[in-house]
Parts: sequence; structure tokens; C-alpha cells
Amino acid sequence: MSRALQEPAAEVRPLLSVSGLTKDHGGGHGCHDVAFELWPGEILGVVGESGAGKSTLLDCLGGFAAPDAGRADYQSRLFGPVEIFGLSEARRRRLARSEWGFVHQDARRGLRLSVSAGGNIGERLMAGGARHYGDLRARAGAWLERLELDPSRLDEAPRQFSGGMRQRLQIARNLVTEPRLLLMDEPTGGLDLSVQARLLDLLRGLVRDLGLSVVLVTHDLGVVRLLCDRMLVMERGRVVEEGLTDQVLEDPQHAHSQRLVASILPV
Amino acid sequence: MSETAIEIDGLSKGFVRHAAGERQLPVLGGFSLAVAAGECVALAGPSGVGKSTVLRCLYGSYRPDAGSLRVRHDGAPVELVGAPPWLVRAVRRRTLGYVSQFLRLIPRVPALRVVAEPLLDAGVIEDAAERRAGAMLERLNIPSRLWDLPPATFSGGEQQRVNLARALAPAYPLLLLDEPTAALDAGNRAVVVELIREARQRGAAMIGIFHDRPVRDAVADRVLEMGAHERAA
Repeated sequence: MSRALQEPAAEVRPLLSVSGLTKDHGGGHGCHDVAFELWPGEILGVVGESGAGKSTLLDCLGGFAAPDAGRADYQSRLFGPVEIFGLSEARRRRLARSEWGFVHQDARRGLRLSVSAGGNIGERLMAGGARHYGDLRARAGAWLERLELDPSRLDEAPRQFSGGMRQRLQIARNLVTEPRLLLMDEPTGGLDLSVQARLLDLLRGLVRDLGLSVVLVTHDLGVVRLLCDRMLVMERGRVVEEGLTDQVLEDPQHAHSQRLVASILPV
Repeated sequence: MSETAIEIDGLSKGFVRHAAGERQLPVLGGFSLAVAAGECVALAGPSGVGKSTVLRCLYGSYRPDAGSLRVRHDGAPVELVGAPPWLVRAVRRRTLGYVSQFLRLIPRVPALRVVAEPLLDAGVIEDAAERRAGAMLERLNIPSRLWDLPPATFSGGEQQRVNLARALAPAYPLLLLDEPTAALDAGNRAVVVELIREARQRGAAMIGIFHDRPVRDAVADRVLEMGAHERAA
């Protein structure tokens, strides 16, 4: 065999590249010196126990918390390469409602409860300049269907929906502008198992069809096994291990990863 | 002699169990093997000798401690030890198939889709992917009335055949087979033997573990007895 090894293709560049990300909440809470890359079309799982800093990390990336240090370089469709913590507020908002999505564990945080389902989905489109009422309605209806929600409920408010339906509505609201980067915080947390399975299956399909890149925070290794290409394990604010999902689950190296994997309940 | 498709050189792998007083569990020490295109090598030896570990290191599920693993990918050799994750994923998508002993069940996804997924990942369009998936399920005697059902409710043998169909439908140039016929009856074993021979004929390089001697004799060009010399000290 020839010894010439293949060079990485030039076009393979990370969509998001985070380094030195630190947010100290005091008392050992927060995240410290977190670094990772997210590749186009990849789902990256971030796991760890409560208080490990997973949500702090996601909140910093989503603009809900300001980091103390670190940078996050992102390949924007609109603006080209940008460092997201240093963006002007106007640019950050523009990206947040077009190229990025954020799915909260509690769908009520990510939805406008007093606005109809259709209004929730249409909001990002309107922010992007869409005005034609019939067109907005049609697109909102199509997204409800795509998330397996009954399009005849377009005019109902989300508070009339079940927890699982509200979560799917929150996802539709985010995906309507076809973002490139989706940040998800425990999207299946608190849902019944059968509802979880449906949501996970839907997400798998959507990620493939839309070419989404996702950072998914969860404490559920089953969700990671099913959805994620790669994962980070966090403990006390730091990333202690990273690898392809099957690498970390089948051959965990760090003591904390071994503890987490050993705690998976067999079915 | 046809070209080398898989080249394993000095592969070592052990495990450290942190919760058990940092216990060291050495499995493989300095294992080497080269497999040519169109060749099927069977790994043999008592359990615990590291046969599955070789396959899992090659697939990337286990991280080797030392050594080199080179595979022919997109026409050129690539080193898998220390390879970036995107490269490992690309190798899995286009080059390297792995038949595990058990199907990893995905809730709600129907059998036909389970088999078609790797084809879709490799860029095959949906219609063609489903046709190939269906043809492979048919050969493995999974009746079409089951294709739209998730395999969770299938028997062990049916699940293993769905698993085989998923790994064999994409016609990967490299295949790793870990007990591919373990849960199968005689008729389906014969089908699998046929499929492995066809893969060999089209030039696939294969490494397999076959406890079933007649299957091994029917598909393997070479049997590599693994023993103490491959074991880590």
C-alpha cells in the first residue's frame, strides 16, 4: 500500500468552532475552558449530570448568557465567518432569527403562549420580511404537518396543546427559516417515552433532510445513542472526554464517562 | 496479488477500569494483519483473545492504544488511528460496513427504512435506496408484509437478517463481520454465505468472526488463529 495519506478536503470546515469558553457562576458552577468543533450536518451531544455546565454552555452560545472568556467562530450564510460573542446586537439578532434556532426544554419558554400556533411559526418569517398573509398561513400549516401536528389547529394557542405537541410546535417555529445551527436543551425532557420516541424520530429525519448541525444538551445517553454523531462528556464545568458516540459509549476513557455509561439501564 | 485494502500494524488495545481501582485489562498486543481486495480472512481462537476487539478498533468504536490501521478509502489509503471524526464518519459512510451481532433498534423506524438509511447517508436517492433495501430484505427472506413495521417486534433471527441487510445493501468495499450467522437457521445461513461470496467476487475485503465452522470454511480464504502471541503482556 502506498504511504501517501489522504489530505482532508479543503471544503471540510467546522460550522462552529468554540475555544476557551468560560462562564463562572461562582461556587464551581458554570463552564470552564470549553472547546469543541461542530461540523456541517453533525449532531453533537453534550452530556453530564445536573450542574456539569451543559446548559450554561448552551446559554452562552444561544446569547442568553454572556461568557467571561472565550470565542466561538461561526460560518454564517449571511455574513461569512463571524465571532459570535463579539457580534453587534443587530447582527446577533438577525442570525438568531434566521440561521440559528434554540429549542428550550420547557416549550413555554420558546413559544408565545398567547399567540396562535400559526402566529408562532410565522413570527420568524415575518421578522425576515414575509408579509403575505395567505403565504405565511400556508407555510405555517405545512410546518405543522411536517412535525405531525394537525394543520387544522393553526389558530389554536399553544396552551391548548399537550406537552409533546408544544415541543413539536417549538421546533417548527425554529425550523421555518431553515436554520443551519440548532441548539437544543433537553428537548425530550419531561415527555412520556412514546412521545419522546416520536420526537426523536422526527428530529432524525429533519436533521438529514435540512442538513442541520445541532448541539444537543441532554442527560439521557439513550437520546445521544439514537441521535448524535459525536458527544462531549462534561463534569464540573469542564469537558472531560469527547469522541464519536459509539466510541464514548463502548470504550469510555475517563472515569466520569465510565461512571455515566455504567449507569445506563438496559432495556 | 491484488492490492492491500486493510493493513493492521502493531495494534494494541487494553482497557482501564477507573471504578475498579484503575484495573488494567490488556486485550491485544502488537496484532498485525493485511487483507487484500477480494479476500476474506477469518479470525479464530478462544473467546477473550481479542477477535471482536480487532473489528471494533477498525470500525473506530474502540480507540487503539498503539499501532496503525490503514484502509483503502476513495482510492487512497487512510490512517484511522487518530483520524479526525469527520474522516471516520466518511469512511463509515462510503467504505466500511460492520455487521454486529445485534440490531440496534430505532423506535418507530420501519424495517425497509432501517436498511435504506445507510444508502441514503451514502447519497443514494430515495427510490433507488428503497429498491435496493427491498431487494436485500427479499433475499434474506424478510417478507414484504413486514417491511413497513419497526423491527422491535421481530424475532431474533428476523432482526439479525434486517441487520445483515442494512450492512450488506450498500456493497461497501470493506466489511467487518462479527458472527453474521449466529441467530440464523440453515436456509438463511446459506443465503448469507452466498452474499459474502458475492461480496468477495466484487472485490470486497472482509474480516470475519465465524463460530460456525461450515460457514467459515465456505467463505474464508484464510483462517488466522489468534493466540497468546497476540495477547498483551
